[in-house]
Amino acid sequence: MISYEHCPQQVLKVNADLLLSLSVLFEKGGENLHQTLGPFVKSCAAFSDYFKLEKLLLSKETLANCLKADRNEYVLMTYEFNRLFVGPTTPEAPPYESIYLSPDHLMMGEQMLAVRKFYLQENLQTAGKGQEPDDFIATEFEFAAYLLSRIMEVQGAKNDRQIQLYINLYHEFWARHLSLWLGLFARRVCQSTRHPVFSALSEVLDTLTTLNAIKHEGGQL
Amino acid sequence: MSKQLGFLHNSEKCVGCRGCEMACKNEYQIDATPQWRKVFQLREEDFSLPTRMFFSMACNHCAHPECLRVCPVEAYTKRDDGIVVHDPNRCIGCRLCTMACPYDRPQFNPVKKKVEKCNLCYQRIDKGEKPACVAACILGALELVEINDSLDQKTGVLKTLPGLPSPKITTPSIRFIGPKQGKQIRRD
Amino acid sequence: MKLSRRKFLGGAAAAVSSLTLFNFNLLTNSPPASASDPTSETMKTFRNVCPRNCYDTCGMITYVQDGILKKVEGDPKHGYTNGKLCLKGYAYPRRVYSPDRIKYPMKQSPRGSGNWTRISWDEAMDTISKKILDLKKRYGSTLPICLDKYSGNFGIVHYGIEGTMSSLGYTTRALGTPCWPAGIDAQTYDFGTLYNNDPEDMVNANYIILWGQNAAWTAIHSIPFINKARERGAKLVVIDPIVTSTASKADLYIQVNPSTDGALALGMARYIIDNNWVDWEYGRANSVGFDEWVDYIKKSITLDWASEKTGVPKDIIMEIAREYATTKPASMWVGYGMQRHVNGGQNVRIIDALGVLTGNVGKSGGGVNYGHLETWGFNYNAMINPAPKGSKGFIGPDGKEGDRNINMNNFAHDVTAQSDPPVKMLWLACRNPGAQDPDTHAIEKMFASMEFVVTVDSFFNKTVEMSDIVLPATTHFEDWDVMASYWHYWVGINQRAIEPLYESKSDVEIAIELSKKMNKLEPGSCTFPTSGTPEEWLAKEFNPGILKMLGIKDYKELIDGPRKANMPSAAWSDGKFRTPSKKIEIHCELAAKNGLPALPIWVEEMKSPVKYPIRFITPHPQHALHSQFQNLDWMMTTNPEPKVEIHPVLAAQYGIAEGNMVKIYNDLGSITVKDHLTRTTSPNVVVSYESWYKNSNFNVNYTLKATPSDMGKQATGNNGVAFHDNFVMIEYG
Repeated sequence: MISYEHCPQQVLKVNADLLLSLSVLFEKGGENLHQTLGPFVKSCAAFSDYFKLEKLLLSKETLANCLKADRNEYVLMTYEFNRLFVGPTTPEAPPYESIYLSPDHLMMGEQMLAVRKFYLQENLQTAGKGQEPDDFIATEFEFAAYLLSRIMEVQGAKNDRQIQLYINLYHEFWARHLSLWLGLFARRVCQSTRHPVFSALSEVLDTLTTLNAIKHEGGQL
Repeated sequence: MSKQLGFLHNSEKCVGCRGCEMACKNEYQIDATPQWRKVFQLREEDFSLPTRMFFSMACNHCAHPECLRVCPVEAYTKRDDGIVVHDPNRCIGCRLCTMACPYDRPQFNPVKKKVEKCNLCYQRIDKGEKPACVAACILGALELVEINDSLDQKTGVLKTLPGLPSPKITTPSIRFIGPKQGKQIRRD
Repeated sequence: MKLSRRKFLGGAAAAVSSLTLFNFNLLTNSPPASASDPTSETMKTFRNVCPRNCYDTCGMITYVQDGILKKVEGDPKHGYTNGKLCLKGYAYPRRVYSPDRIKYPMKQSPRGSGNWTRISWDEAMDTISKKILDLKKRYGSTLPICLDKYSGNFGIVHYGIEGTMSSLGYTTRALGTPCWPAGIDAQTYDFGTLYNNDPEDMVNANYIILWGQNAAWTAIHSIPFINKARERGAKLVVIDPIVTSTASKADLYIQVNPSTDGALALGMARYIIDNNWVDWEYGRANSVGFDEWVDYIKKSITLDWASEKTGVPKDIIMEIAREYATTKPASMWVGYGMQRHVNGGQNVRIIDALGVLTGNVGKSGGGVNYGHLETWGFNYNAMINPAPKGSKGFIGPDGKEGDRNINMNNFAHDVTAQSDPPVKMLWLACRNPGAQDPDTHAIEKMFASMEFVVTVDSFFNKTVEMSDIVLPATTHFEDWDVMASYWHYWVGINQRAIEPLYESKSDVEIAIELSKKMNKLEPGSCTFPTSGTPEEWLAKEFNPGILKMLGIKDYKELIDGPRKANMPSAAWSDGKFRTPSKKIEIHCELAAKNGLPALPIWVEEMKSPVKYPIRFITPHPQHALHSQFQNLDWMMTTNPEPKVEIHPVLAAQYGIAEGNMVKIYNDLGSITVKDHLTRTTSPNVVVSYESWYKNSNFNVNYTLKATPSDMGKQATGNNGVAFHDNFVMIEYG
């Protein structure tokens, strides 16, 4: 488990970079993997190196190789991305929290409303017309990265109360949301994919989830 | 117990449209697999003519509910009006009730890992509204009734239908009016 | 060290190439007021109307909280549906939030490969527009583009789909209607148009015949009105080859030989004539050809013949003849299933004449009731768009230039047959030919031969599978529209209860986008207006006639509740028939001109070929409306798999037992489906209900030839499909 108290800025940054690159990867879609895969692979390598994660060594290598893919390979990745996450067939692993935590895998469930509430605590809401559900993975990752950036900011300002506030918020967001479904999502991706880049992605997600999972002492957050 | 609420289902009127099943699901936005209310087709072999005959059953809010008796955590309570209520907060998903109920009405939800069942829309009843299934029945085949002698003395009111477990087991609070069959001119 | 956000952004940007991620890409600042608990928002309600191809067209109340549809209910202010829906209606929430819903425009490369790329609306419109312009250039017109649209959504504003095509130029159109045109023509020949009594008027009937009509499954809200009549002692007779749920409630059920209903009616007429229960006064005053028909019956029809033909005992024919003729008023409801035969239209004509014979037409509690379009007199503003200047069209037989019409009911064949110019592009909306058209193999082949296919839909069905581009459709909860019914007399408004999900658009919104792009690429190439909110488009559909009929001054009044059209409860009670002669045309010259018998005489039914002796009837299902609803999770729970109903005697002949998988086949194709042995069918008829099950290739149409029914061309442009004249063999396996 990563502890963010008195955490060096570098830790926060490495984490935030990974979260952001994941957010962009999912948001920009399969059609832009040639742009978004690079930054993801880089931030993943930095993350893996910093925390000395042996678990991710293989994935790191796979991802680095995938970067060398030619145009055709990228096209195949696009098709696979859509088959897994988008449609028009039922996505194998829809990237929305409600799908995993609502019993019948429906969109726009209670979880989405809870996430919306969470964003509003920070005076944030989904941009655009708002028809992309609040619990879209890219949005949740962006929010998590934002919270880390806030920690960094307030650390810089040496505002202890705020530091604690944001650390708690970050932990809470993981505990109440991301931790609960990312693992299931990663597993679904792993089981459904036929392409190494997505297997590697699922490994990264799984590792990220494990590292950010909070152990509750006595049921208290 | 001051009274016993229950259902009266009229197979003579019922066409098996399943509106009651879906209205229940819609009211509580129930998950895909559990069916708190289910429409069953009566076997055509049990009657003189082949017709499509149905009855609809949710929880029977029995006078002697087996579910309540076997539940190890007291997740079931019986109200003063006879409604047997299942409390999901107490439920531990042991499924003893699903095995004990002769009608298979408590449903185990594999995702929530708890049992769920019809609670006779007690929240609606307390507001003076009809249960969602009764309100939805287009043909008036489903009624909310008080199970008592006066009901049982009415002509045509049956305590069971062919194929159902004996009412002596749990004394279910459901009554039926059996199907009627008209004349058929057939080619076989 | 103060790390300002700007500096952090710089840092983040440096670490992640040149992408500026932390400008809150997906999130943005919210107004301070909304920091309060969003779930404390109160529940809002909206009025909607189910826009499906269904008699009942139910009024709905939709509950929305936090912009999410929570549940649906029937609209208590609707006098026909009376606050209740049906099992399909209650399942709507599962449709809106289904994870199966298509979210974005997507492109398949190549078609049929399963390789899908997400594209923006702009790119979709660009690709489509360029294709349209390319075809226009190559062929000198937009005739190579063919539209197939029907009843997926019968909302009036959805006629904007036809409008989309019109605004591009002259195009090829699938003309006609698969379901009910034979009967429409029959009533057109006889009365001038189809027109039924108010179904709520059935309470006044003292005798009711349902003829090939399964209200329990397809028009359940009518049954309480029938029941009210029965409480007063009215007898219900149901005539149907199958003991349906409706037939199960009849006082008298008659298992007529399929497709011989006209013979039964003629037999009844003979007996009525012999006993002089004829309403000569009404018949002679209101019709032409009355005596001529009576003479025909006296000469050519006997009870023996009718009994032999229909399989109905003579004494029963006599019984219902007497009862129908002497119980006043007596109502007949002719179902669409009954006319899905090669002699379907003619059979409806005969039944119409029977109604006239007994003076039941134009009477409250009576009528020969089939359907109506009296409340559909909207502007069709979304549909009417002029072709761009210089558009080349198809010169029709009348010498006028316009769209090229092909037969919707022989779609695969007709599309392929076009040559001058050929059809190269398809646009599908509110239609799923991959599931619903006859001869699925032919449809598949035809699709494969297209250069370009665009489908607008919500779910990944067969048609989408065979498309190049799919455009995500809104559900009716995300649209503004107005809905009439072809059975009851109510009209209701459909409000936009929730914002369109993901990137879905309504068909008019799609047309607007297409028009913008077309005109950008080639100014003047599309006349579809590029402005107007969905509600404004709805408002434009209303005219003084409709407002008067509904007794309102403004369409917004419908938000308070649906309105019943101000019409007499009995069709034709004013005696103002809309035929050329202004009378009921029992002898119909127009029919004769069209190569049909002038009189409602008997026309032979299709006989089963020797090789395929079993009739395969494929009526409408209970759990679905064609390919809609069955794929939803609640529906899959209550009805997990398709079945074929087989009579035990027939099953025994082929060594088939209950629950076996049975192969049903003929020259065209085959399907394999689990059986259920039941005596609700007859020994030479097997029954399976047409529907689209999730993740299943079950489709009865693999075995179905596009055999035309006898009528439909006059009023709807093409003859219908004889769906129930499908003959097969069965075998275990």
